[in-house]
Amino acid sequence: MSAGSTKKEQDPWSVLGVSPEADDEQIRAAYVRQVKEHPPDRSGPEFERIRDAYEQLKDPYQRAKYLILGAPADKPLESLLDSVPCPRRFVGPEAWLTVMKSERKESQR
Amino acid sequence: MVPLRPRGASDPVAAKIQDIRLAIERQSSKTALEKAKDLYKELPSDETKSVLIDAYLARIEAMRAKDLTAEAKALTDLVVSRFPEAADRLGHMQRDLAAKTGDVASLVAPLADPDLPLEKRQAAEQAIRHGLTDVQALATCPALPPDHPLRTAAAAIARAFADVTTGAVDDAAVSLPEVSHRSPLADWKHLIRAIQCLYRGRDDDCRRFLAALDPESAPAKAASVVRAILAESPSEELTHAGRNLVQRVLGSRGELRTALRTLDEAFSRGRSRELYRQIRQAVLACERVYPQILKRLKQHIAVKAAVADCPPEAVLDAMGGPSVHDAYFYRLFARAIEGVQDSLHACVLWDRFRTAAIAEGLFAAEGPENAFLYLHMAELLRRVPPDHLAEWQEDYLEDMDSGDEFDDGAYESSPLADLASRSDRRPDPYFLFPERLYERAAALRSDANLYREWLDYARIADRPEIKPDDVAQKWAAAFPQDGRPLLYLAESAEQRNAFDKALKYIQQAEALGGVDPKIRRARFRLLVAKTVRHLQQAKPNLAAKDFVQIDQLPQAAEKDRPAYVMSLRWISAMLENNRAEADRLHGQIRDLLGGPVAAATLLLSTVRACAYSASETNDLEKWLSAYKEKDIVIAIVRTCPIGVDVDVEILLPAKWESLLTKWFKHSDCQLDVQGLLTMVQAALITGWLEVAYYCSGYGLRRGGPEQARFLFLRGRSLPRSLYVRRQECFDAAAELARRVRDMDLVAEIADAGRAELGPWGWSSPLAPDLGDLGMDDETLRRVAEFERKTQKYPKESRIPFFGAGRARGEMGGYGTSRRRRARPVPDEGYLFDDLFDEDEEGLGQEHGGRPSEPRAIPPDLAALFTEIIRLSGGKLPTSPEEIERLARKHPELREKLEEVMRHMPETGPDDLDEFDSDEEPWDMEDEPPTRPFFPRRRRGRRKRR
Repeated sequence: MSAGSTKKEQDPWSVLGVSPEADDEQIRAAYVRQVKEHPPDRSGPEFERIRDAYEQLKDPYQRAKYLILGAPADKPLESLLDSVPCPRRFVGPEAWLTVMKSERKESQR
Repeated sequence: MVPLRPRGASDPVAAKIQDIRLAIERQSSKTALEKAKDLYKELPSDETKSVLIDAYLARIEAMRAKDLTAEAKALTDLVVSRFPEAADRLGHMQRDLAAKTGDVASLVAPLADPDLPLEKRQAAEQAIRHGLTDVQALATCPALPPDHPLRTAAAAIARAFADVTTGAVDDAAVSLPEVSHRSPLADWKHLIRAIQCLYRGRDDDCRRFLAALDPESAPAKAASVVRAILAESPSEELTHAGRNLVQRVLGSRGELRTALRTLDEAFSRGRSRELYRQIRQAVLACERVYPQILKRLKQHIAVKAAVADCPPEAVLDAMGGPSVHDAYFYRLFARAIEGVQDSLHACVLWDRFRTAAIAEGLFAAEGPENAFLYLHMAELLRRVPPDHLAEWQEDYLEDMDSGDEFDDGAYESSPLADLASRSDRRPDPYFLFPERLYERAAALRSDANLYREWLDYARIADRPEIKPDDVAQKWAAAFPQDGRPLLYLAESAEQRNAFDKALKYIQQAEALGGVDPKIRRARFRLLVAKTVRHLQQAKPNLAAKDFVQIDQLPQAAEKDRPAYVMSLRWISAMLENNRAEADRLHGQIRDLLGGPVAAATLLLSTVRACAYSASETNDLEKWLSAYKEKDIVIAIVRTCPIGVDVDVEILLPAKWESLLTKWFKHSDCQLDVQGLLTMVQAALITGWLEVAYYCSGYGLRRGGPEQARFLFLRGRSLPRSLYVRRQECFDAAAELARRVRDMDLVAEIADAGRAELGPWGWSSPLAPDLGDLGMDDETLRRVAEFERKTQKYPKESRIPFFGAGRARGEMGGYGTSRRRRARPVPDEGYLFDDLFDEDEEGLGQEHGGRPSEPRAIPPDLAALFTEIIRLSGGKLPTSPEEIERLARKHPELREKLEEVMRHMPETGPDDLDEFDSDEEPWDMEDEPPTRPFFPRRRRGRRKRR
């Protein structure tokens, strides 16, 4: 089984790599660390994401606002699966080749 | 070989050939082949051979079409072996069939010839690219030498494909340097890398590699399966093998995802037995596949069901038990309840969320999160009209006392229920009262804007226990360098006629930084108000002292303030019977304001403000009967800004409305942009909508930086029934204002938008938030262009959508609030009110006649109603909010609504172009009194009606 994928929404805590309980100091330290790994001249879009995330979290009031109102109220139920890792199982080459051969036959009909 | 015979009129061979070709055309390939064989056997010739090969070709095609691939290949090989000259014609088919039957040797054999013509080489490679699925067979095919590049590439691909589908591999294993990008096997590289990314969870990269596949290639046949795995949902278009593969790779996750999606669809259709069945299935699937998210799922289901008004027992039964009511639940519920505009119960739930969050350690009891929550709750409660809020508060407190509080569906005990049951005291209902919320927030967060909002609320709350002055005092104490609370306190003291106290506050504000224009204006205005008070009391001697102080103020000489001060002096002179001085002052005012009409307007307004009554004012009134366009326009443009500046009513004769309407319909009266702005604003406040409309049009056509404001004012000048057009103007104005960073104007537009919707404006889904107002470039251009070009004043629409037909935002009576879900009681016949005119038609039966037929609904409107009812699941919406929710869910409905509204037949009052230039000048004695312009803004408490 593979490591699978987790379709987590990119909330600002995830972007900075901190937990929601992190305090100001921890958030700032995470921001500095991330910026060193993704400086603006080398990773422009990533840097902007990190910066935006920090802007949202550095003020405790804004942080609270995001924490409380961040998630939309009417998101679909299947989005609950986004937080659960999705293990994708290895099945060997034969199953894939069978599909390709059967797809071939389907396309002939 | 029989030589070709010359054709005769009745050539039997030709006839047979014709017959065979017809059979081929009719797709009777078997018959055609039999006949062709017989003919060739009977008369072998080049011609009959050609016909035979054609018949074979048709037969092979027919076999392929019926999926008889092996038979088709065998026949093809036979024909080529018997008739080598047919190899060219059948070459492509041979290759294609070889690929499909897995006859790799036949497929690749031609490539072993280094002298193979380019065209044939390309044809062979194409067949490999599109048809070959068994790369292992190619890797070991004896038709090619072992070191042939194709065999080497195929071997590498077979190895890599096996590795990547069996376990995690590193990048080196799939780099495949043996496969060049020109190779007919290049697409296999993309597929292998896509599968590697799939298992690594790099879904975007996976999609990128899939997009690089040639859609006709053999590996592309697996792409749909990979995409289904990425979507975690087996598509109906997959083959049985494809669905099996998806299932094997994902396990049961796809099944759960499908169950959840189906449940969401059932919720959107509303309450039904099907809904409870879907709930049951989703819960069971979740228990089986991912029990770790079952708790959350039940919470979401419980909230959705509550919002949909499902009976709790049925939901509990379907879920197989209650949901857990923790902080997560209460937050979810609160947000959902906000979505249905139930502010009161949303606040109840936010309070419960806060309690639970603190108990769970999500944040501290005195942390900034609390401040945010308090302000958020205050904002929610402010969306409710004050009278209704007071009623709700009373009802809820009664419910609390009787133990019948808002039920969040906790049939089993929840942590909070336990807590509540242990407490002997009634919980503090602070969350029902905005003033208490503000107080709590102010204790936790040092923010001057918070006090500003608190004071703003206190002023409009109109409740004796809420004292705006106290709030202002607290603000001033918390922020001693902020002049705003002092300004408010000065105004408040002025309202009570405590001018000296007011001046003391102004002095304090000036000590902070006297160059603030608001403070400078406030001092001037205060002194003027004090003077007016003294004149009202007929004390010119006291007024004289005020004039001395006014004269010492530099700001008294700004704008047209001197004219107003002179008008006060005029009153004082009249009180002292100093007619000469009064006449001199009158002359100066005339000179300052540019005409006698302007002077008379200002003086009469001052007379009214000072409550001065004397026969001398009759002479002034005669000036107002002038109907020279230029004088009236000057009067309005010069005096109305004075009224705004010093907060005094400017009286404008009602008769001027029709004059101005006629004039501005045809000309802009040579006003500049500022003049046009003044005219529009004056007209709006006085209620002269057509005048405002025409002037705003001129302003728009002038262009320049005031476009946003003109668009906003244009929107306000439109009839209320043209809701869509008004909102478009507001949105366009807000977008333009935002682009030039005029956020004050944006806020003003948002407030106007809310006020549009009457007492429920703040809670309506139509109510704009600052972040929502805006427009894309194309629509902005269209709206601005339309308003610029449209000159004719539109008439009211008869269709009572969105508050049309209701004066000034009233939307009917509401009755008692409901306890569980506080929504306005719908007005039952609302949508069809104006389509029936009972005064004309309801009495038909009384007079022995048939009852009159109701007026026919226009066909496109009828079609629209039908669509709305269909989309609502068979129910007719009973409020604009429901229609708006529907329009959000179905964008095509919004387009149809707007289209119908735009083209609705408009009926209404006749054209106002009724002024007859031969009409007698208006006589003051016959006409009703003037209409006030800029009624004095009342601050402090509103009087209860």
